[in-house]
Amino acid sequence: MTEAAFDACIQKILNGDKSGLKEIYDAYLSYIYQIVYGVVGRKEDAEDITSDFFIKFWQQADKYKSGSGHKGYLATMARNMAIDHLRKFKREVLDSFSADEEEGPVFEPAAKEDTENEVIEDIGIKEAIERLNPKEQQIINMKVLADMTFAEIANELKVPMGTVTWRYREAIKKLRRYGYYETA
Amino acid sequence: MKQLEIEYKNAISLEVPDLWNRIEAGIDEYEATKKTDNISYIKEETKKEEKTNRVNSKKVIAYIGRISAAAVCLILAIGAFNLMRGSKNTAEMATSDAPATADFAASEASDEAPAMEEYAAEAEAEEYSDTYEMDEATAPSEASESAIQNAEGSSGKDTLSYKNGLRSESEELTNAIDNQNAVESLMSAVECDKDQALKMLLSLTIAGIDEPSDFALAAEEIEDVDEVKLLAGYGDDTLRISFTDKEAKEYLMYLNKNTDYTIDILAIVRADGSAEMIYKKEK
Repeated sequence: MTEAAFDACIQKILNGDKSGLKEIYDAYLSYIYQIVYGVVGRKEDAEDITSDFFIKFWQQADKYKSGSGHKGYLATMARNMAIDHLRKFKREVLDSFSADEEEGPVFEPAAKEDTENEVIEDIGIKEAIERLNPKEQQIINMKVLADMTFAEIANELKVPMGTVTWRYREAIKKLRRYGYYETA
Repeated sequence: MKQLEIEYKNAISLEVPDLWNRIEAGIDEYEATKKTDNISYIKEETKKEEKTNRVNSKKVIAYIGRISAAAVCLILAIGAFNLMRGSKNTAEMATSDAPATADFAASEASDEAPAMEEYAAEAEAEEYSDTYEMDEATAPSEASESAIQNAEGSSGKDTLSYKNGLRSESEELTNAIDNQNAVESLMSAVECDKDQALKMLLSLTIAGIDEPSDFALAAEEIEDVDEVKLLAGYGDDTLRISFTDKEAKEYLMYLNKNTDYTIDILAIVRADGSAEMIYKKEK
């Protein structure tokens, strides 16, 4: 969607016309859902937050400033909502990261040197992600789906950035064994 | 080789449910709540406004009530003060005039009969009423002249005065009574009653307060005066006399002419209310 088309949709929303929001919904539902899912990591929560996102966008359409890059605006808004949700309802996940840090980082070798590039199984991406441990899944989701930086992830998970990058590398090594490679 | 990011995003996109109905319902609910909130807000504001108006009107009524009560208290206090002052003057005058009257009566008893006859003849020469009846249009100088004539020798139907001290015993008794009347007349002049003021002047004349003093100065100073407040000295005490009409000038002239007691002009308020002049004139 172009900036002009997005501005026209905003104008419709401000006039109380739902068709403006529907156009944005059709264009960006997947994008928003991916970002939200990347942060919260649960389908049910992602659906709720995505719905709330569009309702909130309707309510606060007048706050959007034209020409500021609507895609980045939507991504930031969705990410912030998801992070807020995570802080409120996913405290246990964060606590688990903190507990790890108290005990010191656990280094789990993903594979031996000679086998790390070998594809051992051809499975779907969803199944491959699910084979990662929860901490690795969260970092992969945040990095790949939500487009968060390592610093942002470290800040949200309250762990050192070195731990985040190490876990991400380990997760990438594991996924490589299922035939999935990080985009250069 | 499969690209992780593309594969993963595509997989997630495939499982995105249709959330439009939920979103639309949420928007409708929001809009309905918004309208209700607006109505409630307007109602609350209206109630608050009505309540504020009621409180304000109560405050105004209470304020007016307090002012009224204060004014009534002030009026009562001033009235009581004036009454006390008046009674004190009356008592003092009565006590101070009694010995003087007796001494004067004793000395008068030795006076010769021809002097009395002369006095009676002069008294008959002019009618009492011609002396003190003042027309409102009379010029100050004319008024003062008639007052001087009155002071120099005039006879009334019930009172007599004589500045040379040629007075009979019965006349002195009358004067003693008139001194009290003078005080009362002075007090009644507060209401700016011209008749009362003239009676007061006559009484002052009878009481021997008849020496002119600074007449010209007073006449100049009170040109175009709307209000004159003055203190007329009388014995050891003073009486406040307020005049609020233009005839105050005339009255003041009379007072200045006919009394040698202290007269303090406390305030002269001019027509625009801005200027104020205070001066004191002593015996």
